[in-house]
Amino acid sequence: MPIARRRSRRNLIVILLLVISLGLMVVDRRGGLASRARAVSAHVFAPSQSWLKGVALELADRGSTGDARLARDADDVSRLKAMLAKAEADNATLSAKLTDSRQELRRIKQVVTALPDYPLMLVRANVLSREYVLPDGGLKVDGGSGRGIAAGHWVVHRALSEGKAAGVARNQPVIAADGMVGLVEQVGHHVSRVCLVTSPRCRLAARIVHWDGQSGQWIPQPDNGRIQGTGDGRTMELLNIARNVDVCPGDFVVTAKAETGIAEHLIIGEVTEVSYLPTDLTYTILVRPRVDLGALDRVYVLSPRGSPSR
Amino acid sequence: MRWYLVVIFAYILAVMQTTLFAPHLLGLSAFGGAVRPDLLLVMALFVALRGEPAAVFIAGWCLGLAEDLSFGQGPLGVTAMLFGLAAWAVCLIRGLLLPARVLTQVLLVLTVVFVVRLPQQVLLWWLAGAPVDVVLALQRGCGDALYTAILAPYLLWLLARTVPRSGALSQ
Repeated sequence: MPIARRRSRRNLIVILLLVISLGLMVVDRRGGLASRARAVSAHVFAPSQSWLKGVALELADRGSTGDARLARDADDVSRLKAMLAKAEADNATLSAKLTDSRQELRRIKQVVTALPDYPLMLVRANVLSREYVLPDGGLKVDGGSGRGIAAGHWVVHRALSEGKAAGVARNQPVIAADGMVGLVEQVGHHVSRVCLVTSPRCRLAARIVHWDGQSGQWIPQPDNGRIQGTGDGRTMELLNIARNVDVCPGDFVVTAKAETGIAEHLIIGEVTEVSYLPTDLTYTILVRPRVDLGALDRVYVLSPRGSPSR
Repeated sequence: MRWYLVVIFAYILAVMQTTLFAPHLLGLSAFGGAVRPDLLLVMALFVALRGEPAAVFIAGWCLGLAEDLSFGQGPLGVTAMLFGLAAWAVCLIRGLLLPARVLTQVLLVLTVVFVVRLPQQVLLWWLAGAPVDVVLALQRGCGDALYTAILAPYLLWLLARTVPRSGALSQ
């Protein structure tokens, strides 16, 4: 091959190698490909490395004095002890978690066993809307000032991944692990819209469950009131609770039986503030939702058994 | 140049570099961390003092890749590219050097290892998204360069005796 042609080919290879290097750096920044390549190359290097290390350690052992060897062994022992202590601590933590998980599983099994006899069924749904939970717990929505959204506004509706086909119907309660999320407001075939409990349009019959310190019990109060969102997106207001009812901050607010047919005793929120004017016959009670509405992911719609299903 | 000898030496040096310079063996602690020589870079310099530029770049790149695979961390390509460029640069200026002299070899290796280590460390940190500690990179670069420079004359002598006696080292 002529020398000039060989040189031009080599120059081409040089350029190619430079491009490959830069490409690998840009494409494989996290080193996933590199890890796989190193795992493969270990088959080539590892046998010789293992053999040479064995020989070197043997020679080092022979060459070192007794004191140096003892010091090195002591280092190894202290390192191994530290590793053992850490492993034991990890083991204890994992055992505790396993025990908790087993208890949780047993409770879930009990609930699942009892469910077929229960007049309500849980329709599992994912919160769908094009809104994103931010690291600080807030929400990001896919709209801006062009749609009338401004700082200080709050999200009062969320979309769900289930609709009529799964038995979801209007005014059915939507719950999450910590309590009530809202009411189904609009229903499509495969999606539905929830009006959150913090919305002024979500009105529910509710009552107080008061903590009686003397008896050490939670006591449901007999009077029903009406709860609805205050409009600030964070709190609700419980109205029509008579002044003779025992209530204080920290008490729970749960759903009460009403004509709407919503199940009783679903936790709506916690009382944060109780106030009244001397001339008032009822309290003004501020309630904070128990569910973190900014971080909703999976929710359940409480649907009567026997409603239309797929 | 007998390239098959270069390949064999590269393999042996990669194995030695990753095995013998562990903390309990020949590895040293200095400049606030573990210090290891870069034998493959010395090999690349040996090639740079003998071959023609394009071949030198390719050989340097391959030796860098071998180091990336056997000892490196982070993405592939960083060490390969830096080795290739360093070897190519040395190849271009080798006419100005007297590489047969031990002092020249020591100074050359000292400079090249330091010049390669610094961007290598900074690039790897940057690509991994870790905070770039320039002082630590300088310390490591100094330590590795000194250790490599001490060993380099022996290794270059061995290489010059093993591969054909032609080129800059035997002038």
